[in-house]
Amino acid sequence: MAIPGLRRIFRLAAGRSTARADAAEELRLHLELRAEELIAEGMAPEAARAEALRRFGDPAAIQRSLHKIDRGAEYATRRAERLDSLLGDLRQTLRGLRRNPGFAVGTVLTLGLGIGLNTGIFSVYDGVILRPFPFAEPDRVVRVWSNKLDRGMRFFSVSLPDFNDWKAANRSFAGLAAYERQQNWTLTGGDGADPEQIEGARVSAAVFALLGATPVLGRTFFAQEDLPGAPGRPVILSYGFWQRHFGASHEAVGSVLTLNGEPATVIGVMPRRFILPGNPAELWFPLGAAVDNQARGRRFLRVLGRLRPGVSLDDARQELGLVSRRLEAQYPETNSGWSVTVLGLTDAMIGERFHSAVRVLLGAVGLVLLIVCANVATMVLGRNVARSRELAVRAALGAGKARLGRLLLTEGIVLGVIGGGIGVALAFGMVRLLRVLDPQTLPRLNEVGLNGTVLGVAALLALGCGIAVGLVPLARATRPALTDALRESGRGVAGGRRRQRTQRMLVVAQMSLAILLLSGAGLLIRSLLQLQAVELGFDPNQVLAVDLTLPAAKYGDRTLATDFYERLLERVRSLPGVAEAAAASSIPLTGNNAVTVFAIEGRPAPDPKSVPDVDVRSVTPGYFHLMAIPLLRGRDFTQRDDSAAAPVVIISATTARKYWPEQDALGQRIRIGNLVQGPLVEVVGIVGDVRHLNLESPEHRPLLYYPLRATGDRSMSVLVRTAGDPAALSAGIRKELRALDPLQPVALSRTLEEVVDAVYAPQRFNVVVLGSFALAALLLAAIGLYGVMAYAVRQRTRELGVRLALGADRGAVVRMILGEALGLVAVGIGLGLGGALVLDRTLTALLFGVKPGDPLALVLASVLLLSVALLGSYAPARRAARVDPMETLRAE
Amino acid sequence: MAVPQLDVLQGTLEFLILKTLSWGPMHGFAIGRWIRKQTDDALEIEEGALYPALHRMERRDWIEAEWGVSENNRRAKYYQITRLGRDQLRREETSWTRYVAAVSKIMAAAKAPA
Repeated sequence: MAIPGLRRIFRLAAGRSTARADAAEELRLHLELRAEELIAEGMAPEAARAEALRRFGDPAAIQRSLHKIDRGAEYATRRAERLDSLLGDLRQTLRGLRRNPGFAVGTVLTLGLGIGLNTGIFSVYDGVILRPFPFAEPDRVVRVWSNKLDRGMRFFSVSLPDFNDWKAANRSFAGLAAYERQQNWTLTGGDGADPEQIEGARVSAAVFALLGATPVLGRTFFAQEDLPGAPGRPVILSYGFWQRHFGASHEAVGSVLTLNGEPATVIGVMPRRFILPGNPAELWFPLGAAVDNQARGRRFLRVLGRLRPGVSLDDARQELGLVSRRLEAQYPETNSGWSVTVLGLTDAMIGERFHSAVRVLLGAVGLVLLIVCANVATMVLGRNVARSRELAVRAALGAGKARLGRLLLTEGIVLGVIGGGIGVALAFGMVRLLRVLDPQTLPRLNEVGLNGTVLGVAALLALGCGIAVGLVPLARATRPALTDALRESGRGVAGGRRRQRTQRMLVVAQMSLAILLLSGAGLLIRSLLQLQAVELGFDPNQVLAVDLTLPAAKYGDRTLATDFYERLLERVRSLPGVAEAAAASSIPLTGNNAVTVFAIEGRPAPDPKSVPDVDVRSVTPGYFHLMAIPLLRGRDFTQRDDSAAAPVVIISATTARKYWPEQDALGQRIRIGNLVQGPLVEVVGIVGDVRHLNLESPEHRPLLYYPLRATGDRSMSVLVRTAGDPAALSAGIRKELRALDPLQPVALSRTLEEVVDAVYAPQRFNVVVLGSFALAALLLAAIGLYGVMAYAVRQRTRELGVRLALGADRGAVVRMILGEALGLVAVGIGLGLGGALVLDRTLTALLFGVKPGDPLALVLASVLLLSVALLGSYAPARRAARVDPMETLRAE
Repeated sequence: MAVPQLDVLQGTLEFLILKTLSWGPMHGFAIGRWIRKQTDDALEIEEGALYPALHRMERRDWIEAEWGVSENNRRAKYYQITRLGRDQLRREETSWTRYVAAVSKIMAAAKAPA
C-alpha cells in the first residue's frame, strides 16, 4: 500500500547515482511500514502518516548522511574496480607477450637501445653542462683573461700589476682572485717512499671565499699568509690527495709534507667536488710569493671574479674594457693592443666546441629514438594485424572501443617500461665505459652519472615511447569496421593495403632519419681523415717523452739544471735500444706555450701594436734530428752555444717568411724580450715548420728555439728515439734518473704517438658516437623495411600465386617486390637528403676541412642506405618468387 | 509506550544490530521493530541513528545488503551479517559480558570504600 505524498519527500534526481536512489527507497519503505504499524494500532491513515514522519525526524538530513557514507564506499569500490581492471590488462598484456616471445624480445630490446642511448647521452649533458658547479651562486662566478685579438689570442693569462689595477678600479665585482698555472711539486716521503710529482698551484687567499667553498677539515688561507714574505709554508690539500696520502685521517691538519725539499704545513682539506676552474692542482699554496713576477709584461695569472648582484656579464666586460684602455694608454710598451675577455663559468670551462658536440649528439640520439619508436610501432602494428581476429572477437564480445584502446595503450606502456629498464642498464654501462675510455676529452667527467634527474628523464622517455607505440596501433585498431576483420579469412585482401599505409609511412620516416644520421657521421669521418692528413712537421713514431720538473731550491742556478739534463741525456744515450736522446721545454701539441716579443736589428722601432711576436721553446742539440724536423738553412745548436758565448737562436720557416719576407733571415740579429736594451741574438739556423699548438689553424704560428743552456729551463721533456717499443724504455730512464738524483720524480711518461693520438681523440670520439648512432639507425631502418616487405608478401600470397599460375616470370616477381621496396627507399632518401641539407649545418663547429652538405658524404650515406635496404628486402622478394601457385590456389 | 526509553550508545547500537542480524537477514524497519519488541519497548532505535549505522557497517563489511521483497510485497533492502560481522559480534559479546560483570560488581558492593 503506497502512502501518497511520501514520494515528494525523497526527491529522486534523475540520473544520479543509484546509491542515492536506493537510500531514498530504503527510508521510504521504513516510513510506510511505520505508518502501517500505526494504522494497525488504530490510528487514522492521515494521522498515522504525520506521526510516522514526526518520529522519523529530518529525512533529508538522514538521507544526506547516508549519502556521505555510501559515496565513500562507492569511491573505494570504484578504485578497487579500476585497479582490478588495470591489473587485468597488465596480466593480459604479459600473457600476450609470453605467448609471442620473439615480438616481446624484439620490441623491448629496440626500445631499450633507444632509451639507453638517450639516457646515456643525456647523463653526459646533465653532468657536464646542466649540473651547477659546486660553488655558491655559480652563475655569478666568471673567468677573466687578457686578450690580444689582433694576434688571435683570446684567452691569455694576466700579469700581476694588471690584476691589481683591475681589482682596484672596478665596481662590477664583489671580488677578484688569481692563481698560477699548476706546476709539478716534488713530494718526498719521510718513510722511504718513492718521490712523487704532485700538481700544485699558488692561489690568492681570497679564491676560496670567492667561490664560496669551505674546507671539510681545517681552514683556508688567512689574508696575511698571502702577503709577500709571509713566514711559514701553509698548504691546503684536495680531497683526493688527502684520501690517498692520509687515508682520510683527521690528523692530517697540522702535519708537515716535504715539498720541493722544503717543509709545508697542512692547514686544511677541501671538499670532494671542489675544483679550481681550469686547474687540476691537488695542492694549494698562497700566491704571496709571486713577488718575483712583478713585471707588467709577464702574464701568468688565471683570474676568477664574482659579479656583484645585479651586475651583468656585459657590464663587467664594459667596465674592465675601460680599465684596460686606460692601462693601454698608461703602459703602451706592455699593454697596447691588450684588452679583457670575460666569460661565465660554464662557457669558460666547457668551450664552444664541446658544447656544440654535446648538442649535436643529443639531437642525433633523439633521432635514433624517433626511429626506434617508428620501428617498434611497426612491429606492434604487424602483431595487431596478425591478431586482428582476436581483437575483433573481443570487440564482438562487448569490449568497447575504450576498453580495447586501454588494452593497447597498456601494452605500449608495458613495453616502454621494460624497455626503459633495459635502457637504464645500458646507460649505466655507457657511463662506465665512458669513464674507462675517455677521461681527456670530456670536462667534468666525474660529474657524469645516473642521478635523479637522469633517471627521471629515462622514466619520461620510457613512458613517452610506450604511449607513442601504443597510440599508433590505437588509431588503427579502432578505425576499420570490426566485422571486416571477422569476415576476412585471415589472409584477406580487403584492409591490407590500407593498413599497410601507416607501416609504409613509418618505414619511410625511419629511412629519412637514418640518412640524416649517416650523412652527419660521414661529415665527421671526413673531418677526422682531414685532420689526420694534416702534416705534423715531425715524426712521432717510436719516440718516448718523459717530463721532469727540477725543484728551484736545488737547481735554481741555470747552469745546474742544464748540466743535469746533459748528464741525464748522456746516460740515457748509452741505454740499449736508444738511438737518439734530446730534450725540449715542451713537446708539440701538448697545449703548453710561451710567447715573447722581439725587435729586429737595424729596423725602426715598430708601432707598439705590431711588435713582432713569436712562440718560444728551448731545446738541446740533436732535438731537430730526433724529431725529424728538417734543418733548412744554417746549423743546429752545439754544446758551446751557451749564454756566455755569442747568443744564438734557430727559427722556423714561417718565422723567417713572416718577419724577413724580402731578406735572408739567416745571420740576422734580434733583441728578444727587452726590445731596446736586450742583447743581440743571432739567427744561426732555419728549421721546418711544426704543428706545435694545434692541427686546425690554417697557418703556423711563428716559432723560435733557444739553446737550453741559454734559458736554463728546469721543466723539460726528455725525448728518446728507439729502434723498438719506446714505452719499454721508461723504466730504464727512471733508473738513470734515480742514479743522478734519487729524490727526483718523473711527472709523466708517454710516447709521442700517444700525444698526437690525444689530439685526434675529441674528433674520433664524435665519430665513434655519432657513427654508432648512424649504424644503429641504419640497421633499424633495414629491419623495419624487411618487416613491412615480408608482411606485404605474406598478405599477397594469393595474388602472387595467381600471377605465377598465369605464367608470370619468377624474376619479374622478385623485381616487382624489390621495385616496391626501392620506391619506399627512394622516398626516404629524398626526404632524408632534404633534411640533411638543412640540419647538417648544426655540425659546422665540429667539422674540419669539409663543409655541411658535402656531396661525397651525402652520396655515400644514400648508397649505404640503399644497399642495406636492398639486403633487407631481398629475402621477402625471394620468398615471393618461391610461392607455389598450386598450393595457394588449392588453399582457397 | 509508557515505558521510559533508554539511550543507546553508538558502539552498543552496532553490537545490537549485529546480534539481531545473527538470527537472519532483515530490513531496517524490522531490525528496529525486533529490538523494540525484545526489550519490551525499553529500547527504541531512532531512525536517524539506525540507518547511518547500517550503512557504516556495510562499508566495514560487517554486514552486506541485498534488495529483496518485503512482507507487504515491496522492494526492501535486506541486511545480512557477514563472516567479518560474526567475528566482530563475538569480540563485542566478550567485552560486553566483562563490562557488565564489572559494573555489576560495583553495583552489588556491600561495603563502602575505605
